[in-house]
Amino acid sequence: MPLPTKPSKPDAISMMAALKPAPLAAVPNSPTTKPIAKPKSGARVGTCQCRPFSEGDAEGAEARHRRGGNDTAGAA
Amino acid sequence: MKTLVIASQKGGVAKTTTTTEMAIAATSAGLATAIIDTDPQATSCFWAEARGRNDIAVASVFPALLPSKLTALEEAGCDLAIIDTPAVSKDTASAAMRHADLVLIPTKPAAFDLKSMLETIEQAQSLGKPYAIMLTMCAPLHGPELNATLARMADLHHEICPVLIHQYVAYPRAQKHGLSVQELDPGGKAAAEMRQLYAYMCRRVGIEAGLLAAPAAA
Repeated sequence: MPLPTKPSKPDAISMMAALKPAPLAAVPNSPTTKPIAKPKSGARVGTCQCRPFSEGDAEGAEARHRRGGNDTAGAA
Repeated sequence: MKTLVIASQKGGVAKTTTTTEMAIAATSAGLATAIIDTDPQATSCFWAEARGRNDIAVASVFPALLPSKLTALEEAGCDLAIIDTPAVSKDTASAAMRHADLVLIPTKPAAFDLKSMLETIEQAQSLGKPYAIMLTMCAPLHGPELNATLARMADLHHEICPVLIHQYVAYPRAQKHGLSVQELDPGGKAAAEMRQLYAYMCRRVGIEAGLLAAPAAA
């Protein structure tokens, strides 16, 4: 029966591999995440529906847009 | 695997020099050696970049990852892990010391350095780790400061490394090129004291020093 051989010394590269950060595990898509629906043809995509700023509008459409306000509710 | 930690709360006391020199000495003696750099300044890593060879494993590691990285190194067959620590970071030093078979505490023979040294010693003692004070940056011509420091340390009954490390120009010259003094000037005084330090470290951690042949000149 052959004698077990002594394992050879690791080189610097294999020890560097031991020190390297572990790769991040792939994150699967959440089952609750719905795929983003394609917009219907002709629909305005990615644009705010707030009224444009006009004279006398104290708050302004942009401010309402920033706070996520509903433009149709009417400014106070 | 044995783990050597180089720690001092004071900066500029030759922690990284000791780290890289011990790594070269151990590698030259046939030990599979890795340097773990926990210093945000990453000086050991810069030294490895300047070296430009793949003969020493050097990596920057967050202190929180030390347990897993040391386990990975041991599983890879590493014989000696040397952890370089930053100055003024007790948390990082403690995280490293927890794994130490020996803590080497480089200290300059100067009053302020001795104060920082005592803090580092307290850390090692609180963790129950063996340690040794190592006087570094000693002037080649020993003055009264050195004798006073040695006398003070003897009074405190701390373990003192018998090898004095001097401020030889060979150290910065070697570091500039990512070398050790043992490679730059194998026959020089700096290389001789580093081989003695390596032999001392081996005795303390229980490594057979093996062949202490001087590495080939660069």
